Amino acid sequence: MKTATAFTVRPSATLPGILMVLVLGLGHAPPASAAANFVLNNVDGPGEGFNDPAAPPHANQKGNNPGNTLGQMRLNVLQAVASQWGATLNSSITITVNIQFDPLTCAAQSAQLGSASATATASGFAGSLASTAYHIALAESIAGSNINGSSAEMSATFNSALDTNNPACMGGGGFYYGLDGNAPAGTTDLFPVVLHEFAHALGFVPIYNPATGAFTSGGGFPDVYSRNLLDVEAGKSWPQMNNAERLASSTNEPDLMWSGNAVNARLELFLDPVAEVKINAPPGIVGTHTAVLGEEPLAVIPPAGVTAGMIDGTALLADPCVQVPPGQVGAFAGKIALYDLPGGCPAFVPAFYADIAGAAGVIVRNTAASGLPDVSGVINNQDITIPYVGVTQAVGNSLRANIGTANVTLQDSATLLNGVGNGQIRMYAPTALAAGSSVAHWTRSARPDLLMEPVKGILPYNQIDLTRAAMVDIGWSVNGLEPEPVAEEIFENGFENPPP
Amino acid sequence: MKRQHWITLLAGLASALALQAQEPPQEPRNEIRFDAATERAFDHTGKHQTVSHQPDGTTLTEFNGSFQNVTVARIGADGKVETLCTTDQEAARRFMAGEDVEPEKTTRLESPVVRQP
Repeated sequence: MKTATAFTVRPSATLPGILMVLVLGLGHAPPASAAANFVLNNVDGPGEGFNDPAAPPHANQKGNNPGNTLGQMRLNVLQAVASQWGATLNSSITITVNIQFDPLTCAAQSAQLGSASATATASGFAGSLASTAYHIALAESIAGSNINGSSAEMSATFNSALDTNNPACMGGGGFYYGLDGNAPAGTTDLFPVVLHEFAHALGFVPIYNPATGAFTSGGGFPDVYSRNLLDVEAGKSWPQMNNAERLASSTNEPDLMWSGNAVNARLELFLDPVAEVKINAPPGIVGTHTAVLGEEPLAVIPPAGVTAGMIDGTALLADPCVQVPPGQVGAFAGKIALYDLPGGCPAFVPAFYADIAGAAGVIVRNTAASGLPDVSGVINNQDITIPYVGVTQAVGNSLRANIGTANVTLQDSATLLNGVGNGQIRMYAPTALAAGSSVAHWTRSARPDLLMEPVKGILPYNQIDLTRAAMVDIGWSVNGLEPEPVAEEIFENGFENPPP
Repeated sequence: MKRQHWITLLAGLASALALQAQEPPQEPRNEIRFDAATERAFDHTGKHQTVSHQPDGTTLTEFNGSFQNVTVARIGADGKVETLCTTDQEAARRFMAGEDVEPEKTTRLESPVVRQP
């Protein structure tokens, strides 16, 4: 059933005479079910932050936002995010969010955008799992009662310094306040940042000390998010580990997984298949190997795959980072070109030139002894229209040794998804250099990008994607959960129906 | 169209690659400062927490401004905004200073898998 959501924007305490209570249903009827009701509690002072009466410094910051002042535009963005989460989650207890815009850290090319969190966790309440902490909004939704009295359930602060038209602050472009995902170059889209941070505040984050591995909620209890973390190398869930084991697990990608059933039953709805190189000939090297597909948006593998013989681009060309000389273009026509991972340019450069020369596809051999090569990155002003994939050095060596007789197919895996191992999505858990983002996000190898990945060029605009199911796994009642895909069952008679 | 105008377009590619190679000037990491509230936001040790017990058995742990997720941004080499969501102050500084936040260049998507036909 479609549910409606209500929002209330609570006026700043310093503006007692101005009634600013808004109830927005976004076209829907008033709430008739238990859809979550978010109250945005504006704690900014007069004339600043969410009360700023000025117009944004640049006209292109407004987009389709109906507001005319910085303060109203900011409120509209926060309301839109609250609307989306309110329509997604059910709770009979109001979720109050203290919101403010303050001048925060800025530099010429970088800035702090903002921060958000739950204000508390709770454990031991009616309906909770034993010895388990919950983010407070979730706890109250499960308990059906207000646990923290008059306190807010969440808080969020964003950086007003971006909107001061100061070139020394992120180039001076400011936040983009449109609600359409069309942030112009030079601006920073606020909506997806808030959508992402609200997910953390609603429970998508473990409550532990990343320096020691210790759970920190009262009583030292694990939180319900951590109950969904499984280290398949250690063979333990996070609550089963001691602090040292948990600390080691936080940097154990690709073996730290999300074990929740709601997420893992829906992976194929949101994640693309892994690329594969299937070697069809010669007989001595026939087999199928996992590969990594380049990121150029048009460089996709067609449903039927791409099958062709091969040439060795690295052997043919003096420099793979420049255009194929006219006299050698003919050798590429219809072939899949093998290259070593170039040292002088990104992998997409020889792929682009091979495309120009008429190749059917490109395979990039890793120059490192283990793992798959980095074929990431895109060309801003060009398209690559053939698939290019990276393979291990060993696979590349086999192909090179048989280049004259090799016939290969670039294809999508029928069973493997990007970012997934053994049917479970991986968590972001790289080495300590990325401390702080680990464990609280999905792996970066998920494709397409998901809302709750840690690093983004462009955040998915308004897709809650797998996070909706994650909310189910941590205990939320949600609306609009996608049905689980039905596995195609083939019976012994070879048909999709059982024998009569 | 690409093949008809490749000379012009390759000039664009050269510019793009040049942009990629030319990192924009970034603030030195040790000159990036956060205010006191943000430093507390980054704190995940639990030292700012207060714990209370309610008559019905509920334990409430209040963060008091700590345990936040902080989003920082930078303008990338291609001129586009990049963001990082982190709970670690040093990781935030490193990102804002234009440094890599991941140490490895190889992409660890999947362990290599070989299936016999």
